[in-house]
Amino acid sequence: MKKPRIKAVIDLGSVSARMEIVQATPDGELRPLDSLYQSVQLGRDTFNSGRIGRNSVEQCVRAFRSFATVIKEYGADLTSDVTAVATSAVREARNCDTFLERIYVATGIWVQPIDGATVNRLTFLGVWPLIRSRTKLLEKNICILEIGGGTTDLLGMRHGEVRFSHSYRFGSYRFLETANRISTIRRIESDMARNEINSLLRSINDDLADIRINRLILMGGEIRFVAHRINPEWDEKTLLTVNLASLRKQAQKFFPLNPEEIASLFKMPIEEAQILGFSLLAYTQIAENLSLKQVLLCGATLRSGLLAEAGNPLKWREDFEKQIISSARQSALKYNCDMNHADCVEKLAQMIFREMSNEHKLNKHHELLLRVAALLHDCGRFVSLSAHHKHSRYLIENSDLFGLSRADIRIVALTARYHRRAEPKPTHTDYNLLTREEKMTVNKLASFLRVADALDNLHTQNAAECTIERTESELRFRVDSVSDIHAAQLALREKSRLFEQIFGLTVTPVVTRKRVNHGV
Amino acid sequence: MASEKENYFNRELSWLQFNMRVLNEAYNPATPLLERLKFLAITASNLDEFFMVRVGGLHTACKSGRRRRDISGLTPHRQLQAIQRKAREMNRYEYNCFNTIIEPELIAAGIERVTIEKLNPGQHNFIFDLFNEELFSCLTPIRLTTHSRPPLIHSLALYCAVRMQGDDERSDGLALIALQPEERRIIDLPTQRGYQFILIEDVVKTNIKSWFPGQKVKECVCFRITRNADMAVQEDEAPDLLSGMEEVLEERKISDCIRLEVEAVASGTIVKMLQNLVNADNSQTYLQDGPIDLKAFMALTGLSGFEHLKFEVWPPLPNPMVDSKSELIPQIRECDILLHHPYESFDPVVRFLEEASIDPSVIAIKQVLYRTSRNSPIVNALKKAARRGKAVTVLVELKARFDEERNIEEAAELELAGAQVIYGVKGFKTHAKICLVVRREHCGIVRYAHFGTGNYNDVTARIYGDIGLLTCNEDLCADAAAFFNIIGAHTQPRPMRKAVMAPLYLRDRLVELIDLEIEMHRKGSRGRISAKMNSLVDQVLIDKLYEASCAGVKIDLNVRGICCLVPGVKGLSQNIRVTSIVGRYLEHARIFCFRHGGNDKVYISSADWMPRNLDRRFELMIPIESESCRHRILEIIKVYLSDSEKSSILESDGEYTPVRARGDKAIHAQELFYRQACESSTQAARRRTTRFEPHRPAT
Repeated sequence: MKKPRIKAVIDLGSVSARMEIVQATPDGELRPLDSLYQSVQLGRDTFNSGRIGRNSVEQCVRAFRSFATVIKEYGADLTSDVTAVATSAVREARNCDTFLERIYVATGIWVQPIDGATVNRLTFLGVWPLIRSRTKLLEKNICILEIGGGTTDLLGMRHGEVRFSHSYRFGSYRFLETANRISTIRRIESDMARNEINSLLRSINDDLADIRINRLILMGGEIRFVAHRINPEWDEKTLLTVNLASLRKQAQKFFPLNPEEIASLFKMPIEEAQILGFSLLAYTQIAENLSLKQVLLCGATLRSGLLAEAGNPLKWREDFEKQIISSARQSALKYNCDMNHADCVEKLAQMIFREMSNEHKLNKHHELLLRVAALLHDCGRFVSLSAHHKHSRYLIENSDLFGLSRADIRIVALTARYHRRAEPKPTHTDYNLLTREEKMTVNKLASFLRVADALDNLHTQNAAECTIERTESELRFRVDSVSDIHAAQLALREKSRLFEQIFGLTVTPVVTRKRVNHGV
Repeated sequence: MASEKENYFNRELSWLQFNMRVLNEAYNPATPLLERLKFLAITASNLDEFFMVRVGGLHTACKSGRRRRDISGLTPHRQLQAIQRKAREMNRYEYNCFNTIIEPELIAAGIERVTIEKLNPGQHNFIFDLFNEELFSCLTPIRLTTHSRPPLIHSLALYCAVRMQGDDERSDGLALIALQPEERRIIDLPTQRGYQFILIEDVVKTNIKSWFPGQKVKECVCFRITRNADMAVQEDEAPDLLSGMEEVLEERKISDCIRLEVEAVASGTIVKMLQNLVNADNSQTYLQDGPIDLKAFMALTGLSGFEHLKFEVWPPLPNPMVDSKSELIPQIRECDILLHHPYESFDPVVRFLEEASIDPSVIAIKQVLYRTSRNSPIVNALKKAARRGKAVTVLVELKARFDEERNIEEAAELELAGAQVIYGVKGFKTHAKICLVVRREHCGIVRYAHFGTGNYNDVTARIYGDIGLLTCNEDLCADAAAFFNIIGAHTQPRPMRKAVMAPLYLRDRLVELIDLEIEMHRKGSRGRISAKMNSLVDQVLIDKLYEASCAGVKIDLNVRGICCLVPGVKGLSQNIRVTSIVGRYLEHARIFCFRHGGNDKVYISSADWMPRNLDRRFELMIPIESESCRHRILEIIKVYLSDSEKSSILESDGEYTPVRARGDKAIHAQELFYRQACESSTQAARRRTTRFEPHRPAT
């Protein structure tokens, strides 16, 4: 029988470094062992000066050394049993790399900076079990909101499927540092806070223009703090429904107090006390803006997501892929893509990917990226038919595609960009910025997408049911329609070259000879 | 209402009241004679410590001009005056007890203090030899001159002051002889019957001329001083706590004299000389009507051959839940084990650590040590575990008053064995009684913990009434781990799952619990709070108890020592009853019970309800949730609160009067606990089936 393993996840944010240590049983159950917390001042540094100062670096080193001590006491391995991530305060710092290197050299813990998309993905993983446990929620339009130190993340779901995700450069600590730079007078701060929140509300309104949100789930440290005040018995394992009025009342309680008073009254670190009032005000106003009377407070954290993933990665992958594809389809719909064509190309591309699995040496994740690229390859038509592949690239690159990291999105965007016309060239700046490995991935995925797109060149989806045959030198697609085959042959002249160059196989569409029914 | 100064007793005077209750036991004819002598010695010892710390603190406050009043409205100066008055009264009471009751009864029982004049020839020769062969050469008089610096006079050490004739009375000389602590104060004399002894000072006084040939010795009297020991390490200034503590220990040796005790037979001249020498005034001078330092007589209380003059021996009994022949860990896994010391043996706690130290599945042990015994089996087990490569983390509280030196030594030994030693937390004392054992079992990491109300001291565990809990409750053990992470600075503090920690959350939680009781009472459920502790001083909690009393909640408090709450005042505290037990065992457990609408919430804690515990110490309060343990604690506190033999009740005027049994229902809590422990232990032994274990060949 497999023994339970110790897993530790660390989340390095703007004001704190937090670690959860759990025991993961072979069947995926997680038993919490330790929960550690250290205040840091990364947000203050990054959002103020753009870089992490020496004192903050050493403060983090001390925090991570402490974490490492506790991890080692459980006999866990710092490399294989620990997942550590850092969010915007580290990611945006100019000295991000040297900072992470310093942490690694001093403590042996490698911290991965993660982007908004990954935060959204982890948030989903953390909060999904709570949503799933309340079946009625699955029918609603749900929005999950977390205001962090540097960014605010918004995730939308309907019928249990992720519909959108957005990250905003709005954070409590980011605001605090701006406010501190301009003025320390409370009144002005208060006006500034409202202006800042209004600006966020405008962005959210734009993004949710045609969506009516029925339920708002709020996450974050400040929310957990308030939830415990509203209901001391709350165990964080369920969603806590509260009236917006109660939340507003709590927010109003803190906003007039200065951070020292909050820290002393509520026994919290000053770094958290500084942002409590502002965060709660922002949460409340967003909920009011959505015309909601109630909100759901959630105890899940980024670490819950990390733990869920670490505890049973396989179980999560399938669920998660569905959500990513669902989110990509929503984006495709938003850009008025021909969804029949998009679905057909996705199917064909996936078929080719699987057929060539022995040759391309790519993994399941790349298959997912190909599918997303296939769904969105024509989204540039929303801007203009002319050079739409180029429009597709920047639209995808600037979208918040749920569940995909920035690096993933870059690959998807370039794959879509190369679905027609020019093949990848070193003179293409964006392509040239990729690593060699990423370039090879884009080349392979683009080659599959080009062939798939060519096969449905007429957007009839007749090729969707094609079958593939392999010979030593040829990849044959057997399709039913003669008209399709001619169009495909023409398209493949332009589009199959990349595939042929990489895999040494020519691509040939052939018509399936149908039995003629001579009966009456 | 509650902020009126007459609503609180002064804590120092309340403590003196407690010491008076201990002294009353020395007067109690129902108590065996040597035990009465022990109570007298304890009273004296307590008073020494009180002077060093509390009077010392007030002395510092007066010296620095502080005039801040305490909750009873007294300035430091007024408090000092009141203490000195009470302390003199207590001294008179002590010596009256010794001179008129204890000593005559001791003589009657065959234990006799003999003076030089009464020595028989054999004893005379014995003393002659002792003086010439040992004392004369070991003891060195120091003559004080106006030109030389006076010698360092050690706190609480006994000295002989010798006045020698000068040209006139004003020029009389003074010499000091330190009766070194290595010399026995009580010297056994050869005798045919009973037990006879002589005090060292009597031998010295008789032979005093031997040290001063050719000079006229006008008088020789004993004295000792008490120095201010209320000084703490300046943690921000000290390079590290260890060296800071060592500095404090040095500083205590030369701090101000706050009490000068001189034998009452001393002349005014020599008293004046001594006052000048140690810089003490009349208010600090105490003329004692008998041997100085009565705690020295503690040595007599262990005399063998006089068992009839001592309490019946009550050896600690095995806890009925613990099978001493089986490993402890599986037993804890089966159910929580509640230990009631000293009726039940401390062995399971020692075994818990000893077994862990050699258990291959144990990967880590974490322990807080505040006060331990010499050659402590707990410390030895920790050292053994560290040597075996287990991750051993020990917080040794270097700031534990008067145990600093021993703790510094122990910390060094533990470090040498490979343990990770924490010297305490800056600015706080760590007073929580907690031990955590982490095992890697086939199902993964499993943690086991011991929480207690008393120290990890196998010696005091035989005389202190305390509660301990051995558990593998996941929440409590997670809290124990969190506690060690907090004190080890691995994490910043946050509220725990079940346990409550001072200094951050304990007072608030207690207020919350009292508030809940008030709320429930108002809703119609009978409110009741029963609590047992050593001291009740915290104004916030006292006020909250007053509030609860006014709301109708019945409050029954068993407070052994200081109690600043004024009970039984109409409109303030008419629903509060305060009792105090002083018996053969020192009541030390902290138990807090809240009726909570019939679903009693029961807690044990390391903390008293004092500002120092709630604000300046790391303490723990844990809920007792196992049904059987909870039920047992409720029974225990019920018995304590209904004691009618060793309890006194605090009146609203601050006086304590003995509790009288109702009808023939006399309850002697300590005795009852012992009898119950005997019965449970016997029953448990009977229940365990006899099992023979054959020796088998090694496989």
